Amino acid sequence: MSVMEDRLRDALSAAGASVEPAGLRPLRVVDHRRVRGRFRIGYALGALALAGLVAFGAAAVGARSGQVDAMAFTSPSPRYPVVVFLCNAVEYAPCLGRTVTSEEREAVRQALTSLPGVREVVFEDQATAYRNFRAKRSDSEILALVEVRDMPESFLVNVGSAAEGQAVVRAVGTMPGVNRAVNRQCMPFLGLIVLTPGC
Amino acid sequence: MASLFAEHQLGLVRLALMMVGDRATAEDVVQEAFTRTHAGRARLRDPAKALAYVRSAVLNQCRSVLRRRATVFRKAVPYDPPVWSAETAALLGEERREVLLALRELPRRQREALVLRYYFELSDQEIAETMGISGGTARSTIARGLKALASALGETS
Repeated sequence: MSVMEDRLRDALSAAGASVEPAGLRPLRVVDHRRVRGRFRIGYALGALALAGLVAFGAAAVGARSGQVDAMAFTSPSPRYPVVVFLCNAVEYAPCLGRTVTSEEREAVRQALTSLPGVREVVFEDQATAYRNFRAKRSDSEILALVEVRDMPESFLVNVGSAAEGQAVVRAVGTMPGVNRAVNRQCMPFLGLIVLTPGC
Repeated sequence: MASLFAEHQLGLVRLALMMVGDRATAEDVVQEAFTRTHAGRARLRDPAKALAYVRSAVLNQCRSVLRRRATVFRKAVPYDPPVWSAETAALLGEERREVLLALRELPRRQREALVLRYYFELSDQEIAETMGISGGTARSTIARGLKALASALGETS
């Protein structure tokens, strides 16, 4: 085994050395989420649906498995305004490639049901999320890329008001096992203005 | 988080290079991972795991790039000849190129684990944290990868 290990070390070290410290492009600080955040992309998809160009961009989004939930945001007054996306191993930060544990899932469920203003909490598993996703999308390129395991589990939460929805987001958004919580009532319209009072 | 990236940029670019093959894409990958994690810096719960976290972000980004290349953007995005291409054989030598080519053919997890072990010399536990798998899985992934590599290269392991 050690011959193979040595050959591998040597090859990797030579490949690594082909990138020298000099001439590395300095890293730029860009707040990407402002520009290409999943909400705005989701809205762009829902609102614009501008044929070819958008479809191409959407394919790129779909290819990023972690962002398939962008497609969830299409209805302006959803039955469950708050969506709590749970960690999935294919996700970026803050999940770090770790799927939510059953204890974490239960803790989030309990926290949700104990909050004022919460009327109903529904759990959506990966298979259901995948079915809904497929039902909404028809472009075969995206459908071919996205698998059940790419879909996040989530809690769908019915709340009384936008303000209560915001309280829910604040309460569970950073709990362990939560990727992010969003209040769809408070999504900026076309990425610009929040129209709902209480947000 | 920003200083962590600056400090480790070279290593991160090299890590990405071994996944995506060319320097320009590797630099883009690190920039993108930097942007994403920087944007999410407020949510970093355990600073001690920060390096595993940024490496993990880079690997995730590499995976996106490879997936896009394999599908939607296959024809749309030209990229530089990868380190394992014939063009760079002169630079690295044929023997090393063979190793890199064989490495490229391995399943993604094995490839990632082998690079983390044999280039970055990380421990099983560090590899596990970076890849979001258990220490035991990291160990067995490395062993399987090494074995597959040896058999692909006709090396008696």
